[in-house]
Amino acid sequence: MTVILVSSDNQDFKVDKEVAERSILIKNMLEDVGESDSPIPLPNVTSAVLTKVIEYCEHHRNDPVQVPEETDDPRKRSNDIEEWDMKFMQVDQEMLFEIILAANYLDIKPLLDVGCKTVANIIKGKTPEEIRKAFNIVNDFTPEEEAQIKKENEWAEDR
Amino acid sequence: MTSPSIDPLTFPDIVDHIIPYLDSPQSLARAARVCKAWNILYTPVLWRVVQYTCMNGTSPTFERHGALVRQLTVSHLDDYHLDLISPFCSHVESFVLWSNCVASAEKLAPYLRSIRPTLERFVVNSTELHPEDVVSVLIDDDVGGDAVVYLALRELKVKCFGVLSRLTLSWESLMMLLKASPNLRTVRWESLEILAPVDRSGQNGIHRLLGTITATEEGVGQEEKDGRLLEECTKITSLTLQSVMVSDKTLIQLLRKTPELTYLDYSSLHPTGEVLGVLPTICPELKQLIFMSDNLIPSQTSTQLFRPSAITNQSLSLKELFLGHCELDDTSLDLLISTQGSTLLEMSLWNCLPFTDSRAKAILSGCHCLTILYLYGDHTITLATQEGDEMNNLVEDAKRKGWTCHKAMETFEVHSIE
Repeated sequence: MTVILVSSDNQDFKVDKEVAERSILIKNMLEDVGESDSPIPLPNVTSAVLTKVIEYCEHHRNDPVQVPEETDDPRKRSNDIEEWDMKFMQVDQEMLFEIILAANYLDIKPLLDVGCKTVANIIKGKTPEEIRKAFNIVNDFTPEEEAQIKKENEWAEDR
Repeated sequence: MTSPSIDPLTFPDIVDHIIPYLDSPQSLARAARVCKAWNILYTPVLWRVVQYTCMNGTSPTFERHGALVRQLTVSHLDDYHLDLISPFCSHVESFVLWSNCVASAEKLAPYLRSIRPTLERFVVNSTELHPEDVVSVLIDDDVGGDAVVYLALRELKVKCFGVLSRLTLSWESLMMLLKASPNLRTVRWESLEILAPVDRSGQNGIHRLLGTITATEEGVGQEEKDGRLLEECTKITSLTLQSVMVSDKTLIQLLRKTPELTYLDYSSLHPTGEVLGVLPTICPELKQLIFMSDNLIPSQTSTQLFRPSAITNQSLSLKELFLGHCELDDTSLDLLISTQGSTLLEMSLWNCLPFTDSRAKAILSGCHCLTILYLYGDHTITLATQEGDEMNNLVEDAKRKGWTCHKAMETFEVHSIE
């Protein structure tokens, strides 16, 4: 069985129900609506992003459903990203952000995790200035404010 | 493609997903310094868990963010540094004083009392504090004074090691402490001697004090109910007495107050082993038992652990068992297998019996849930060829030799002890 997803720019995507249901949002919608051929509008996701998201869901269509307790346990968390996912995430930053937002909106936890791990890996080991550069963020602190925060948090930075 | 309308890096739902992967305080501290929006998001996370040493390095100043701290771990805390914490860190849930706390009881007491509504975990490791100090720090032992009930406290771990001699804790203080913290689940005492109860008049004094505790506690309902329950027992499920000297009689008296115990780790000094015989009756829920004696407990005594309770006629259903220096003869081993064989998942026997092929076979074939078995001591087990501490998993050897070895079995090691 297939379902039709409609992106914000009105493109239709025909995908297997099993693939679409990697998204908990869609899964719940389908369960609520029951048997229906009507297309599912996704007004928050552009066709470019939806193409990527479907590619991810296709690849992971047979993955076991994540057990929440396991992923919520910080000791079991790992920053490792499997090879296919790593390649999949080699996109420009704008697309990375769009994927993360779409994964959040569509409720695809494993994709959200991969996206957030990718962002965390960019942040880790960088100085604030390097982080700003990496994400094109403007420093809106006055030098005094920044100095004060640095001093307050020195105990944590000092290791 | 239009650029995202929402910035995921400052969208709280998404930041919550990023934070767990930024495992070090350093990353969080640097993130908090990127810009104002990031500062608002990362500051509470950074200050939630604070860990530092007073010996060297930079100590935090808590004026601005102390109220955010929930888990505070401090090494070598002294009075000077405690004064920097006390006025500001008012919502601490876990307070861990690691690597020798040298702060004084006089300074610690008012601070601990100030955080009693939130304090769930208190761990202290000190050469300066006496176990009695720890009790007095937690409760006001001045009869008629402001008795304190730590309703949130779930975990208490104390290691006060005397430099020259073993420090003592009176039974009365221990009882006061347990009653002042009625929701304790996990308790660990290390390196001390628990004294036997004194005469009746002393106990009356405590009952008087307990009356005060219940009466002065604000609010009724649950508290009052807790108070009543405590007349008899506690809710402790995990008890560790590491290198603790306590008479069997006193220990049994203590264990009578912990009927919900599921975990007992008792590394004892000169016990008679009498406690083993009463465990099935007084701690019937026990699932994990570590009992390490420094003198050999005769098999007659060890066997009692596996007998059904004379009162309930129920045996224990242990999942993990570590016995050290408890002699087990063939009768005790048979009883162990017949009463614990269907529940035991892990077992270590340290100097308990001369291990032979037939005894090892009996354990392997009788305990069918067992995943881990370690045997330490004199042995003539023909599978074991290793010397000393060389690790060697014998599961496959046992199977190859046709020993009954259930599917669950993962590790089977035999070690001689020098």
